[in-house]
Amino acid sequence: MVPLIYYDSKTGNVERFVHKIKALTGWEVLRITENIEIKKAGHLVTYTTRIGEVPDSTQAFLQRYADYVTTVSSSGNRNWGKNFAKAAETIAVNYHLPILLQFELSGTQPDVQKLIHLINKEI
Amino acid sequence: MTAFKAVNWNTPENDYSALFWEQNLRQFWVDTEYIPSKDIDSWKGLSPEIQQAYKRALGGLTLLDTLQSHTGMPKILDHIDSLQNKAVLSFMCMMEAIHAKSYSTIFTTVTTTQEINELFDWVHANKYLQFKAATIDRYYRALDKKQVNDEELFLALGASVLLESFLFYSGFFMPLWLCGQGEMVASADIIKKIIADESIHGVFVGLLAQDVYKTLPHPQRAKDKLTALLQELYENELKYTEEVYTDIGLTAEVKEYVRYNANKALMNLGFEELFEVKEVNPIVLNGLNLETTQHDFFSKKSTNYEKSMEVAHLKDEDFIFDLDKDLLV
Repeated sequence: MVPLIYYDSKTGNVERFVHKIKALTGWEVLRITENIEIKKAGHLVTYTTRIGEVPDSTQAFLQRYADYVTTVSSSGNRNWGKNFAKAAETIAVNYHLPILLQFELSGTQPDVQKLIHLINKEI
Repeated sequence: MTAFKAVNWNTPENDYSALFWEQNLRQFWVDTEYIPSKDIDSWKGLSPEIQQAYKRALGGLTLLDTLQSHTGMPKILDHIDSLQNKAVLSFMCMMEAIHAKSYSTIFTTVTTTQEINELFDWVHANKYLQFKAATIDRYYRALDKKQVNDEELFLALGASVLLESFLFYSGFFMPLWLCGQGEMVASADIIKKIIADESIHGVFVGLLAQDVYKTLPHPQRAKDKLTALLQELYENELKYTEEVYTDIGLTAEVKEYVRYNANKALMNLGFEELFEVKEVNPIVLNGLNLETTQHDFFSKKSTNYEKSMEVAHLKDEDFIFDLDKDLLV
């Protein structure tokens, strides 16, 4: 089964990150919107907002589709110290999901490679 | 005659102005809430070489924040169309002035007027710091006219992101490195508030830059110019780093941190990273991660701003006590 990524993005960082993955793998990436309808299991990649919080749009998505989410990853900024990419940690606890990757902003090339590798290992 | 427009926050002008306005408010702080005097003993225990590097690092940061509040933000906001975005920039401009002042709050607490005056003389005479300020200022001053073209605006926004997300870090390294070892931690509270602010400034101005970039007739040309600017500033940062950090043996670590942050500045502009970075100094990361409680007890505000969420409104009835029940007998 070809991996599928559901992603949430506000400033474009996560969007650029998942598109780098798509360019290398051809995997399907689907942006979370208010009216998104999903029927397949996939990996969630989101961002961290306010001070270490999960975005509202991601929360709403999880309330409807948490059963379809297999892993969580999140972007952030190490300048926030312990709150760095904390969205993934909060989601992992609330929905009992494994964290695959916490990365900075739109992710470096090593980050991109790392997530591809980790998703491949999940299959 | 042109009609003057009033900012209308009832209708969002884009999907991020309100978000950034709120984020700025959430992060708001003033230097006087913090008490760097707790660091006096720590300061006295530092070697003269470390003290000098610390002062110079913060002196350089003062220059950048001064430039940003007096020229960078005002010039840019004059050429941004969205009134809500202008409001966000003006808030950030005020914060830059608070940042610039807060370094003095630290200096005044730990050192003498004579030493401070010597430090500012050093800042004014240091060729690498002056090059840094003059180079960025040139892009801001290109906006010193009524009409600017989109490439000029993009480059000024790009220069601002380079300042916020890249050029500050040769300076931030020093207080974070000390804090990561338990030194100067109260002052580091102030520094970390500044870093949090500069982080959102870089994201916001980076978004404005990306919006302009999409409209450019020759985007590649603009990107090449910005990359050349980054390279020029990077060479200067290496020399500045050597001047400040050679005596205390940290040059290699600071240079790596500078490259790491140059990559992050490029990401804020929507571009790919340029430098290969192996490892960010773990002591610096520890400095960022350290949860601190060094704050004025009465204002009770630390690295995290807390707003009371559960408010119980008092009513007159609350003051009618049932003496039989409440009396402690």
